[in-house]
Amino acid sequence: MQRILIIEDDEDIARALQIRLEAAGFATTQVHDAVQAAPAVQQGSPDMILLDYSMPGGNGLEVARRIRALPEGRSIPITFLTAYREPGVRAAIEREGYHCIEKPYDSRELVGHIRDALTPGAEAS
Amino acid sequence: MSERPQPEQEVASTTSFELCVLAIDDTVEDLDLMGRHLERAPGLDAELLTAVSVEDAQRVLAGEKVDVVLCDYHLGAFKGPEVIARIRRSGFRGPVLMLTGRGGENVAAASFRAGAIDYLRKAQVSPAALGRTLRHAVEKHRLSQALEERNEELATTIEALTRQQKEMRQFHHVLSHELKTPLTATSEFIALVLDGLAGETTPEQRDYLAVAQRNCAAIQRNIDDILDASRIETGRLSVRREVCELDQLLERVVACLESRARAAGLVLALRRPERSTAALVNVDEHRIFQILTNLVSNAIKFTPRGGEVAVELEVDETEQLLHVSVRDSGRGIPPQELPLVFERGFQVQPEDATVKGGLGIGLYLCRQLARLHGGDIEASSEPETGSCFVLELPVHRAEPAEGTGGSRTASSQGPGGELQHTLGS
Repeated sequence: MQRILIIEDDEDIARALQIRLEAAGFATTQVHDAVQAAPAVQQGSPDMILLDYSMPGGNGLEVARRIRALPEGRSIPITFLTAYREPGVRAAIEREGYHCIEKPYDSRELVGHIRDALTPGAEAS
Repeated sequence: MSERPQPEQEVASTTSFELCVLAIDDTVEDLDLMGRHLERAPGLDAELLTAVSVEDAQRVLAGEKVDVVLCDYHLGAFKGPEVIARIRRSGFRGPVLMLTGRGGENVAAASFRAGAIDYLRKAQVSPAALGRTLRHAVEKHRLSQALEERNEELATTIEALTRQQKEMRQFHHVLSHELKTPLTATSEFIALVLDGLAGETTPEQRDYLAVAQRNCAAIQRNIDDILDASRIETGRLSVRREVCELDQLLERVVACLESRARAAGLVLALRRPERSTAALVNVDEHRIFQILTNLVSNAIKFTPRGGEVAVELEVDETEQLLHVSVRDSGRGIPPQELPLVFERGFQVQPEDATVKGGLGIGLYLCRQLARLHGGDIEASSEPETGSCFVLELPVHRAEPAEGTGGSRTASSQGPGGELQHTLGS
């Protein structure tokens, strides 16, 4: 079963994601702040990461850079979730090569995107 | 400007102008002469103080409230500009009139540069000339003081507004985040139950949840509209242009709103020209979709059962423009309200309880968004017959010019933001 790490400070949203993704056949783990993100990647070796853009302890891009700096995190697909609709935020995320999904998200779209990202041969984002 | 000094005779016959004048001259005879002129100056009630040196003048200024200084250009070792500098240093802010013996152009120029408000040649001084020049000097000084104060006030106001605008932007940013985060959890938990992830639901439960879900979507739209309006006002709204076919976009809009029209007992019709070439536009698809759904939703909202809402695409080949008209068979917009519909905060008549209001920014946003794309929206209406909103967009010309094809972001603010000027006022 493919493992998805949810890094999201809002525990309700993290829980909703967990229910949705587990129902879709994925295993999930979740952490709720930026500090726990890197250790969770090292310990859990997830197949994919959903990352909230704004979190206590560092913005999402900072967290993504820290994950990318780990040997375990170099090639894991990371997708951002953000409630900010500022074009600047989205552009900054996309400039670093990550996919960005806006909150409130459409769960079908989200699950579809995750399946695509985890499909072997598909372009990892 | 209404306070321009009145003609001399009038002033003389009504009230006299009260002034405290300090004359500085190292020639006592000249001071005496000034005194005599002042006494006889028409319409002037002047109190004369005198000083024979700069130090003397500074003492007087320290103790008396002087309205205007009359100063000899040559004062002992000092010349006019230096005298003015010293007077200013002792705190005098009022006007200084320079008196010269044989004043040439350079003396006048030096006096003005040093801050003198005017200058007079001693040979020309007469009671009338002195009176007029003094009054004029005091009045001119008062006006320029007032202007300067006003300028300072304006500068402070601009600064405060700029700061406020920045705070407001920040506030909207945070507000959006703080509203959308709980909204995300709310809509997703509703979706989880609706999707059966919490067990079987009854049709009635699903119906109720669907209502909740629809309202979550409405909240989200309102948040987005507020943010968009705020961005438009600060010139920060950006569009991501892509070449697309307007007919297909229209089909999507109609498909999206068909069920709502049906539920409202209306026919939603789409008409377009029979032609093979596609109606290409270079637009932010999401934004044009937003405009059109807004126009069609409004039309549905304002049309009674049994009516029709027609969306029609027309191509103006000569002007290279595409027109999408959204026509309803509602009761129309009163002529006096028609020019106001695109104003921010416009609402339908509040006494009309049959129609629910909204934020009043929908049409405002539509027009601003259309203008960001180099287009516009116009409204026409006939009471009791219906209204028609026409969105006009330039046809995309497929010349291989730089940057016209493909996807890219154009900001109304950033560098390369060619849309900046279209937002104007």
